[in-house]
Amino acid sequence: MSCLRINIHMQTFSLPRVLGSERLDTVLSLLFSLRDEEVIHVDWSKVQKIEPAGLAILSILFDQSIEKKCKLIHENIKPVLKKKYPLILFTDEKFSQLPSPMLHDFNRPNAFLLCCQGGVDLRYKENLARSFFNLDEDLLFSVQLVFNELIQNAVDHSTSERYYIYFGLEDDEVHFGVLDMGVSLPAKMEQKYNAIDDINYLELSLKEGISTRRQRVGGLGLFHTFHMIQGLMGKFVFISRDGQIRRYFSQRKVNRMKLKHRLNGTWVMFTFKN
Amino acid sequence: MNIKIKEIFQTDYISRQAGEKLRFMILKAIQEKKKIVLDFKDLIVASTSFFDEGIAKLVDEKVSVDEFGNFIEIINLNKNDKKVLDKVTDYRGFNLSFKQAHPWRLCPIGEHWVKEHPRSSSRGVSTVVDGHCRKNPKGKDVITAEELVEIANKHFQQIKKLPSTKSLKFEDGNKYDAVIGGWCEYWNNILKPKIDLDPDLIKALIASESGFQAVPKGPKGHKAIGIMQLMPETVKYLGRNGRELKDHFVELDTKDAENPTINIAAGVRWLFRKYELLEYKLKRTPTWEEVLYDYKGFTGSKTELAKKSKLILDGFLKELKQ
Amino acid sequence: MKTFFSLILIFTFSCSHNSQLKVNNLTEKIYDVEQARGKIFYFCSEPEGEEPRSYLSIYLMTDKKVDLFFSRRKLGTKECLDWVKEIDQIYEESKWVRLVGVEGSNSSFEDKDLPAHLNQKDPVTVNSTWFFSRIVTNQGCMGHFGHECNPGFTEKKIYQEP
Repeated sequence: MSCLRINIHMQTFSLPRVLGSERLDTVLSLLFSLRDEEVIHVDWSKVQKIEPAGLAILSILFDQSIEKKCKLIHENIKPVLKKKYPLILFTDEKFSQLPSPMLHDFNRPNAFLLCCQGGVDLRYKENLARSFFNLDEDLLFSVQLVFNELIQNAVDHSTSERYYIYFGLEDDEVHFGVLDMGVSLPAKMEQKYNAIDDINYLELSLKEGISTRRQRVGGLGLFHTFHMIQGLMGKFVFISRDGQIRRYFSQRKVNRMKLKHRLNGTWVMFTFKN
Repeated sequence: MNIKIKEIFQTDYISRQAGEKLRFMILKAIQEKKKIVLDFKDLIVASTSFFDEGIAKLVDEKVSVDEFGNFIEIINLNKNDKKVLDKVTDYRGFNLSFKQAHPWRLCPIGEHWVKEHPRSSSRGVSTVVDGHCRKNPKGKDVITAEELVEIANKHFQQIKKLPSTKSLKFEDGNKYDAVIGGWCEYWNNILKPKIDLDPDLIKALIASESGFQAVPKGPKGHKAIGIMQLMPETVKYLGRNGRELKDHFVELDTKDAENPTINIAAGVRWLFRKYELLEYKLKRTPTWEEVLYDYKGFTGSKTELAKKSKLILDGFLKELKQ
Repeated sequence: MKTFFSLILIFTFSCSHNSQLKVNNLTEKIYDVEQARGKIFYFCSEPEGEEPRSYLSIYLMTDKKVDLFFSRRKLGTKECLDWVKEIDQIYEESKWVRLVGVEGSNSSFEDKDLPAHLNQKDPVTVNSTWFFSRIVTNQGCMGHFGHECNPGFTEKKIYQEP
């Protein structure tokens, strides 16, 4: 009698110590694997901290796991994290379809996350006005400038209905960003332009006069927005499809690299000194 | 027609669609030759897309800057939004003469208004020089006495935030309400204090300083001039050569200061300077009441007379606020 | 005998004139008062502040009370002394004095400036205070702003009818 051996392939991903805009390899790999796996184990034993960007990333992870019909089993989550971040990810509730975006909304005195759907959503302004009104006026303006441009792009280009906005204070830094999981920026750019690789498409999108629009031709793109905030001390992380750019404004340093795991979306994440 | 952007574009005032809507409104106004005022009060737009689509792209519709200036007025624009608007319009070559310190101004920053005046003539021929903008060397914002009067005549009929209508029992108690409201609005827009100066405070100050008497320059020894009792030194300090202000100068002489419209404009500007000085001294944002008390010399005073004088000023303020 | 009666007449006359106070107008807003050979004291109050600056203070002394008229704002030292000199010119030889003040307050206080000016110890109770508007004597007129001495000027025109 031969035994039918059933190979159950269960992947385990060990999340990093700090969930944020740095050290994204594991998360991107995990996201990429969702479409191929039925069950994935996520080991939280190393995780000490969730930065504001991490809130958005975890929401994306949750939604993507439902869309891709992959069950995530979270293990070794520290109770203090569950208590501090009552995210939908940590609930026992089961969803067979995408939950309402409002279930992702997270609001604390030093951070908020909004999951937006179906167009331009300016709720973030109320959150900023309510909890962060005492930040520097010019810094807040820069934040809004970036948010508005990125929201516009997410709504116009990504074809994904949802996008995720986060904002928070960590020590003396302001963290904020817009993430979506729609058509990536390089995919949009290559319809109009030719570049060598995705890193170059990302660089191109930041240049003057570049736009992916076809209908309203000649939009400003991201150039003017980023140009106006370059005086601030900080950095931004820009990843989409296979490309990653990390720009450090005050040092005029730019790291460009190919992502190890493709991101089917566009994530733009900023960190500024307060 | 006043268009309140916040009301019209309630849920979306950042997107390109919203910008298009704005552009169509502007085009319609220009085509129909109707003047509109775009009021950005209480709004921070912070969107390159909105301004690009809404205003900068007028250049694609063959709208000239002059046409825009003739029919469209932009007011209460946040200072950072103004930078964004300047950037996007410059980029498209739609250089708005909006590089004025304020939409009411006749001249761009770096130039000041010279009113029409006669030129010396010979052989019985008289020449008049038209009112015009003249460059000033440092390129700063300078407003002249003549321009103050022009602005008041042109714009002060529609001031929204006026002081209280209480006359404080003075025969001329309400005579200068529009001028007080207008200059408070103007200087609040230009200098953007953390808290706007309330026109009631200026009205109370005038009641205390002169009882609304348009005081001409007094006899020798009586230095203070006009309705807000400006000192001759203050008149000098407000100018480019006064070495007191860094920008937003007011050029006038002591004769000009007798004119209540000019006097109030200069007095309010001076109060803003006192605000700056007090902020520096206290190392915190002062209230406007504190600035007024400082202006009158009440702060730290131990005399009964200062207390009496302060009570009178407070009495005026209280009555205006009731 | 003639000399004796003349002396009595002079004494009576001067006593009665010393208390001869004529109130031309007294409302909440205006106090217009005349006194024949009236006693006033006027000087610059103790300088205060960074510059420093003083109020011009004019005290009208009567048998019953003390009224104080003072400048609407503190004056620079030189300016205040100029105002004092102006009053000197019209008061010194005068037979009567008329003072007009506006924006009055009837709350009394213990004044220390006047006793200090007179080298006296005890404070003086001031019964009312007014913004100084003008001082008129038979020698001339001085106003706070200057135009108060123009023909036809009256403080009543500044205020609405009560």
